[in-house]
Amino acid sequence: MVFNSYVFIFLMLPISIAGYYLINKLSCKGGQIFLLFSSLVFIGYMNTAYLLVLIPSVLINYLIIYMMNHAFKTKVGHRKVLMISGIVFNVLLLAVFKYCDFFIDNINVIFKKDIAFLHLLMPLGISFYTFKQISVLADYHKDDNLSCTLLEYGIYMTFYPQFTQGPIVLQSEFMPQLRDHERKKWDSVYASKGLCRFTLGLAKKVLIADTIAKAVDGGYEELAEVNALGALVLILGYTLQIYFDFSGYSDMAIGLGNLFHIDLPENFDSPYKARSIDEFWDRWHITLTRFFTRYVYIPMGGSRKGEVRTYVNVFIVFLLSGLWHGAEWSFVIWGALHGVAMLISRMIREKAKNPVKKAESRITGILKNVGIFVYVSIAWVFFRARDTKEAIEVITKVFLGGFDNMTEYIYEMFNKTVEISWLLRLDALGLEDKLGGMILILVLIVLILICMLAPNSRQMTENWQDKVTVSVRGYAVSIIITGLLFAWCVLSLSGVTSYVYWNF
Amino acid sequence: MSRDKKDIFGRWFICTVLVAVVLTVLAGVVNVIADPYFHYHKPVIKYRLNDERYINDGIARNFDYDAVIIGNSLFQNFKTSRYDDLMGTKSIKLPYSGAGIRELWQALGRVVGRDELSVDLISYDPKDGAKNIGGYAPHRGYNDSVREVMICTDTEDVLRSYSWHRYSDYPTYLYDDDMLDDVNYIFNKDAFYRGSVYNIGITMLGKDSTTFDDYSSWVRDSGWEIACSGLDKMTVLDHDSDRQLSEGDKERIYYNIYTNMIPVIEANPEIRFILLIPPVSLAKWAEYYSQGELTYVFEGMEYMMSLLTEYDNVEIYGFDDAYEITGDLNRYCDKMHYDAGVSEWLLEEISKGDHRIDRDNYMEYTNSLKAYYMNYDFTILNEYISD
Repeated sequence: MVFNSYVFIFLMLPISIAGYYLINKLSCKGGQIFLLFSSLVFIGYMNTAYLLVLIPSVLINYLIIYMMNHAFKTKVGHRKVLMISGIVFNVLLLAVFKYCDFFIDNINVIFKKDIAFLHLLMPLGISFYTFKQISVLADYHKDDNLSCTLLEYGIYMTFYPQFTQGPIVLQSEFMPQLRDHERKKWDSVYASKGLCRFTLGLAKKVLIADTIAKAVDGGYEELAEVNALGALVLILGYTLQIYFDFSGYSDMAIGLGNLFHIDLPENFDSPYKARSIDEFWDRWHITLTRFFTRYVYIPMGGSRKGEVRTYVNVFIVFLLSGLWHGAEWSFVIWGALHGVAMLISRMIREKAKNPVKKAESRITGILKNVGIFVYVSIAWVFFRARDTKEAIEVITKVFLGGFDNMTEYIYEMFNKTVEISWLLRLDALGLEDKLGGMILILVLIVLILICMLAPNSRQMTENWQDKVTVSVRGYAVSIIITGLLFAWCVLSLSGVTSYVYWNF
Repeated sequence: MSRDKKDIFGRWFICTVLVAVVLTVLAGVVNVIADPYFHYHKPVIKYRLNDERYINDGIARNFDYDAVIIGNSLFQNFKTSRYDDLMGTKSIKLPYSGAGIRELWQALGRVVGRDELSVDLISYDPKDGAKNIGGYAPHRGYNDSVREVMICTDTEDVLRSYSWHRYSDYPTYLYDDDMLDDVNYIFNKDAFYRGSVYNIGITMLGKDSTTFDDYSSWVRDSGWEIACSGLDKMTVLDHDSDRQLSEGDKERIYYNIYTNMIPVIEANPEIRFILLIPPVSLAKWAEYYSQGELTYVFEGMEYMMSLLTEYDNVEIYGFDDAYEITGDLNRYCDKMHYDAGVSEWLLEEISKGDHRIDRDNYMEYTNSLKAYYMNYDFTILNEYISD
């Protein structure tokens, strides 16, 4: 099940929230069981087979942490063996379901074999819950006072708002909230904040990301027809699409968490405002960066084992991050590109050790921001393309010229979106007639400016909370705008596909 | 948190949810009443006909008619008013741009009903049993009073696999009988804005509904250079290495016809099925020629006709021998698509019974085409073919 679906919005969302609070009134344990059940329904809705991997995995991991902090509480060596066994088990599970065909493909290429692909069904959310299980194992190994019930552990692992795409919440953040009796009661401030955040996220996903996706998908499907201008539009379009899509989903997750009176960690903080690659990773997929830092980089030695080792550690982390995102070499290259940028950034910082601190001029700041945006955008091409060859083709096209007319494959479907058709009607200067796709270009420019200058959804929600109580008019307007935006998003979940028969 | 603040946000939450629910439900109610795709009822307000694959099933369900014109883009310029004048019917037009045999006959099967596949055919291809083919269940049909169907029967489509179809992304929620998935229609932004709101608008402004004559019709630039676009320079070829119709090809055609067409034809012995083989242009024949596929196409056409002429309720009309049309590329906007004037002429010829192909003359028909195009000097097209 996905958040941007009718079944979720019409059934899952109201039933799970109303049920949770109603049952909590009768019994807190009952409320927790209901929450676990809701999450399992959410996960198993698309394919019950997902649960066949998830449930045993959760049970085995729980057994391991239970043994660590009960049976072997005082035996440090045993606890370490248990932790390592657990990590190996989780990594193997991920390797089997996510990377098996990738390994087979590479073996076939390297050793000229013809081993058949397994085409295993990848369980929903496995990349995320594997990391969460590893983080719990590490935390329990470090702290022998930690404990939780199987029910609590099950809820933590499956809590549906963050199950499929994060944020990767840590047990130290989640468990205290789950146990807090005050949080089992409906809180209208939290719920309002949650609804507001969820609506913003839904709008980012449904109205912005999915609309840009039409242009990006159209261009990638007919890449042979794409010229330099088209390639630029594809690169920038995907840069925006992935941000609005992923951060929109995270907003929905955080909003849903608030509706359950639970705070989930922030995952995005205006990443395209970053002025260095380090800052970008402090702002993009924050909980993943935190996981890698805490559970991979630092255990590998972090920056404690000398300069060279630090660089190696950083680079390995980014390669792993690339591979975690997808079982394709293009993802590894994407990770490597970020790793290289990170190394260069660190080297420059090292060289400029103890510089006389000068205030950065506005122009320098803007140039750095634009530079990072361009670099990150180029790296995203490897993320979006089917393979490395296609990614290089897209990037190469930018330098092959052709800035007059981009192919209509890119903007035709985009222009047919209802909201874009309104913009086309406002096009009194006839820009679209002069250059096909002009409205698309303008929309991308506006969105880039929004990403670089405007407050993000967290800040907007906080501002809204401060201002909503100030005047009756603002209160009423915010009700109408949020309600209208929510309704419009719901209507946008389904549309009409134009069957573009290109001969006709 | 103060009690007052909680109350303020509590009211905010309830009011916002109410606004969202009311607006969403309102849009849904408008969609159900205006019903731009005629999914629930006959039109009650003026309407626009577009978005073929969304609207055709509703037209078939809820309009009054006794004849159906159904086809791909080669049929889009047919005028039902002219057809009705000539045939004395009350027809609807169901265009499906880019559709192949499977899509057209599945759509037709929903309109007039279809039988289950014969047992023989299920065992015909054990690897891909007919029972596993989606959308092949027998269907009762929407309209018992249909007496005549005219359907496009493109030779190239018949030569394809039985399962060939251009689009995988289909609005199945408008075709199945599952009420729950109707949410995709009821709360559909495009249906609401481009359908319901537009239809309400033209009703209020007193504008007319789209006629079937205008539905999906088109006008495009035509001419020799345009029709020859995409062709390589022609050279004189011998036919020694021409592709022949293999046993595998025959099996494919057989399976295509018996899976897609025959269950509908057999289920409706009282309906006159007019199968129109549209006249493709000289440029298309030049393409077959340069690809060494002329023999293959003629033999495939002949095999198709041998199977279909066995049915008394099937009338085939073939126009590939209308050389004055196919050879005049000013009437074509590409290799296949002819202008509206040709569409009208085709209707007139069919109404007169001209160009009819039956079990006695189909070989004569294909032989004459063979003789004509195998010896045709396609190099005359070179002056219209760009380098």
